[in-house]
Amino acid sequence: MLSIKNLKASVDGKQILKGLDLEIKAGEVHAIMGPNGSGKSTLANIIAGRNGYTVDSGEIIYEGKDLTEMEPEIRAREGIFLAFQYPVEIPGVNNVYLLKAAMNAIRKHRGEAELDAFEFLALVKEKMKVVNMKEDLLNRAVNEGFSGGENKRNEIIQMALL
Amino acid sequence: MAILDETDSGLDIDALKIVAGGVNEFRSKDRAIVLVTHYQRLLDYIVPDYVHVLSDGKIVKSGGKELALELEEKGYDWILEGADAA
Repeated sequence: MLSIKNLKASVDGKQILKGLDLEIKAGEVHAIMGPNGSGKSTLANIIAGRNGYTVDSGEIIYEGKDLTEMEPEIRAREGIFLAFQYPVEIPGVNNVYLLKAAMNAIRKHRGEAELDAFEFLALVKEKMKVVNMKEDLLNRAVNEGFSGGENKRNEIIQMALL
Repeated sequence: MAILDETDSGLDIDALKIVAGGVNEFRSKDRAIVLVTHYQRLLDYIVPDYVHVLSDGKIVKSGGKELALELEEKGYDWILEGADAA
C-alpha cells in the first residue's frame, strides 16, 4: 500500500529524515516510536504533504502512485489521512459542514455518488457513538473551544469518514 | 491509510481508551494505520503488527509488538548505541 525508499526530507532547510525505508501493506498497523527530534512527526507530515516539509530525494509510493509531487488535497482524495498532533481550531467553519464537504470531495474523486444531508448525518451519528462524542459538537465551529479529548475524538471521526 | 501523529498526547486514560476503540473499529484488511507515538501506553490498546524505532532520521530497529514493551522497560539508549556501533 505504501512504499518509502531512501527518503531524505528537510524542514526549514534542515535535513530531518536521512534515508528512511518503510513498507506498509493493507491491513497492517505500524507504530513509529523514537526519542524527541528523531523525525517521527516529520515522517507523518511528509507523507501527508504538509507545507514546509520538503522531500530532498527518495520516493513515497502509495497504491502505485508517487506522492512526492502531489498536492496535499490530492493525497487526501487518494486516501491519505493525517490526524494532527495539535488539531487546529477553525472559527466560523461549522464542523458538520466541513466533514460533509470533505467526504463528498473524496467520494466524487472516486467516482462515487455524493451523500445527501440525511444519509450523511446518519453516518456521522453512527461514528460519533463509537467514540462517545456529544452530538452538539457537530454544530460547533471546528475544534473551537473543544477540550483535548474532544478534539482528538473529532480527529477519529474524520478518520473514520475520510 | 490513516496516519495518527501522537494522537495519544493530551488524553487522560478514559479518553485514550475511547479513542483507541475508535481506531480499532477502523482497522480492516483494506486499510493501513501508522501510529506515531512516544509511549507504549497507546499500544496497550491499539496493538500494532510492527514497531519501528526512528533515530536521527532513519529506522534503526524494527520488530513486532514486543519491541514496544522492550522500549518501555529499557528506554532507547540500548538500540541507539547498537545503531552507532553498526
